[in-house]
Amino acid sequence: MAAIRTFVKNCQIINRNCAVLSPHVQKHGMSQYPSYYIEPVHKKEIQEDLIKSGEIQKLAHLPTKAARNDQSSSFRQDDLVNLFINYVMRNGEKVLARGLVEKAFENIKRIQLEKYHKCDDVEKKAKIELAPRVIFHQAVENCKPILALTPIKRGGVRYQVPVPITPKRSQFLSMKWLIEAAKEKDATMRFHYQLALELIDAANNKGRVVKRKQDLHKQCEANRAYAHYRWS
Amino acid sequence: MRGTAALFKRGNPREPVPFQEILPLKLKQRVSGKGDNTSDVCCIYEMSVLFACFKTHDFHQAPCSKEIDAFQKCYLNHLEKTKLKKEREARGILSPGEKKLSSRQINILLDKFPNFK
Amino acid sequence: MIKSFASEYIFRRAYSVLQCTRFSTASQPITEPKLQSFRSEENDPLKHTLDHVGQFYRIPEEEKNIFLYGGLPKSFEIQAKTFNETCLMIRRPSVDVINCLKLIDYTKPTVRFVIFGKKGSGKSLCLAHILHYAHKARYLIVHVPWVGNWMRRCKEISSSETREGYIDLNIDAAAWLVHFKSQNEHLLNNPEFQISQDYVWSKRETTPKGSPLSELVDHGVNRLKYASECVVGLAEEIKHLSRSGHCKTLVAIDGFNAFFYPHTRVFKEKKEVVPPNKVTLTEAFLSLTKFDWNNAAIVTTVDEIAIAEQDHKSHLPRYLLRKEGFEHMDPFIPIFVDNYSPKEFTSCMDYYRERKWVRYYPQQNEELALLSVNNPYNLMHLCASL
Repeated sequence: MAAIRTFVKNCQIINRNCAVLSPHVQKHGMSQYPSYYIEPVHKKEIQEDLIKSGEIQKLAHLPTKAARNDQSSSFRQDDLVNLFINYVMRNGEKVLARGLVEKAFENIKRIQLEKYHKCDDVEKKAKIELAPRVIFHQAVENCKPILALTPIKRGGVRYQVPVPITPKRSQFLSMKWLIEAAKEKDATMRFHYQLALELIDAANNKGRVVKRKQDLHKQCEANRAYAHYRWS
Repeated sequence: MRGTAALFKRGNPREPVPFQEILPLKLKQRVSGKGDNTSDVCCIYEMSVLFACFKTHDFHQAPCSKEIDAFQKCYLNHLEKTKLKKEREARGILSPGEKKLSSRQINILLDKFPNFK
Repeated sequence: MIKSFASEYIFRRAYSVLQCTRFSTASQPITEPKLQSFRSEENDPLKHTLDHVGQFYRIPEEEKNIFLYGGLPKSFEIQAKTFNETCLMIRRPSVDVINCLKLIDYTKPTVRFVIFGKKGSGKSLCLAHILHYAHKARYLIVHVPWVGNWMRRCKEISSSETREGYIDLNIDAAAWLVHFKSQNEHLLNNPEFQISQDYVWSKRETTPKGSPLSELVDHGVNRLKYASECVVGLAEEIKHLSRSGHCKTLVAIDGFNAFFYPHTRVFKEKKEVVPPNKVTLTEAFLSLTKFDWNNAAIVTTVDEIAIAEQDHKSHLPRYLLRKEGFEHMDPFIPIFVDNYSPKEFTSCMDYYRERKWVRYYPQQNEELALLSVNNPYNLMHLCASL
């Protein structure tokens, strides 16, 4: 009996302590930094802006988190590419993922340069885009869907209802489709080469991914009668 | 078997069931927030305009940029509005003359003016 | 403060547009710094001097045939295909060797050069430059593209019939003979190139004394079984021809230290490792690198990559050649191939930009120089995704 009583008491103590701790734990999760640490400013442009506006004085003596290993002050650093690398990554193999994306960029350059050297017309030559990052940005932009379908149950029937999606979601879908298209290939083809082909196609508004987006839009159009269903 | 069947037979028992007060017979001092989910439907008109444009241009996006922009703007506006509303409701700010109150707001009111005991 | 969705979206769009313009090639050549004279007018390696160091020269299409069956590293070949031209940088070590080759007294015993340097510093391309010079100067070229291919990735093995306990690499030997023939096509037609002794292959097949040298080569190509023996015979014949003054010879061997590394990947039937001195081809090329003949020069490279990975401990010749090889080569002239100097580095980056291989962004050179530690191979890799 006494044992049970002490146990209950202990539980109460833990509960009470947890109640005090819980907001703290939830706020910072597993972070190794206390809450008053600020995010690092790793971009040179933003740093320069801060210096110009004088705000740097405020930040100078605040405790700051260390920059993550994919955040650098280099001018070739690109947020969207970093995000894409993270989407390509499986099982935390970041080095592999980064290598694949970089190789895809290399392949883009090789393919485009080959076109460039084959082309005799000066005007056409100037139009060929050789920068892999520009092609990548263009490709992601071209593959972004505007609507998506979501299943909604009404009277025991699942309806595919077209709904608008947020910019972030549409960007995610676009990149996900690009990766999926690159994975759908012959066993002899390498992922990075297929990805390069898909990116070039998508940048020219052609190819499988753009088609997939259009198919989704067509389906949305076919199901437009259900558009007024949604949550309620 | 027959005996048990007879036991469960329907019909009015001779004695009326005595009333038991399982929960106290008075209104609670708060309301639950279950019925707060409102309709999420928005931008139906913009969507139909967009579909019409898509259909005329065979699902090419370039000629429909105006419609697309309008649609996206509408949706973002809607998101922002709902977000603001949610925030306001979460904070429980009461504005006089408001017809439709959120559960939070009602709870605040109930806290201030409790039910008759 | 919570940023509103709309403004965030607009900001992101504007940012992406900004980035597009930042990286674009098509529309902004103005911000790029003016390209310097990184390209040499002189495409003839005979006239290259120390003034040209750091500049690129183009190997003319018709002279590229000497590298038809190997001689250029594969990554460089891919690069050359993308750039639509084969350009080599004129670097100090190769110019030094070429100057030496010009000044050597060829009546004295052979002079031997050992090119060494860290991984990816350009040893093989240095050798390619020297080969191009030798081709232009009408040397008889005895060139082994990569010894590692024989010792570490051999195609087929069989035990030798004439020598007890020796191993033949027939396909590799025949492939090398084809390579030799294609590199020296213009010289082999020379009627003075004759065989000094009879070669008896079997009862029916002999190559008699006095027949042209090309017959010996052809025999090796056609009869795979005797290819290794042919190479050994050819080595002796070349030495003989040089001694008698019919030709000047340049022996160029890439990855020479593989001849002295005991753990090869050549296996007998019972998975016994064959040491390199039991391979017939080694015999031929060790004999060619001796100093008991004249009217020739020998250029070899030693490379870590030619041996097994667990032994990549140092790039210095004494370690790589081991005691045996060092004594074999002694005395030699060591030639160190260093990483890019600042001048060579800027020249290389300018070349990449001119070929539209990299896009300019501010402080690019400084950043890449630090990341690549000025190493040419590292630089090539880092530039690949820009």
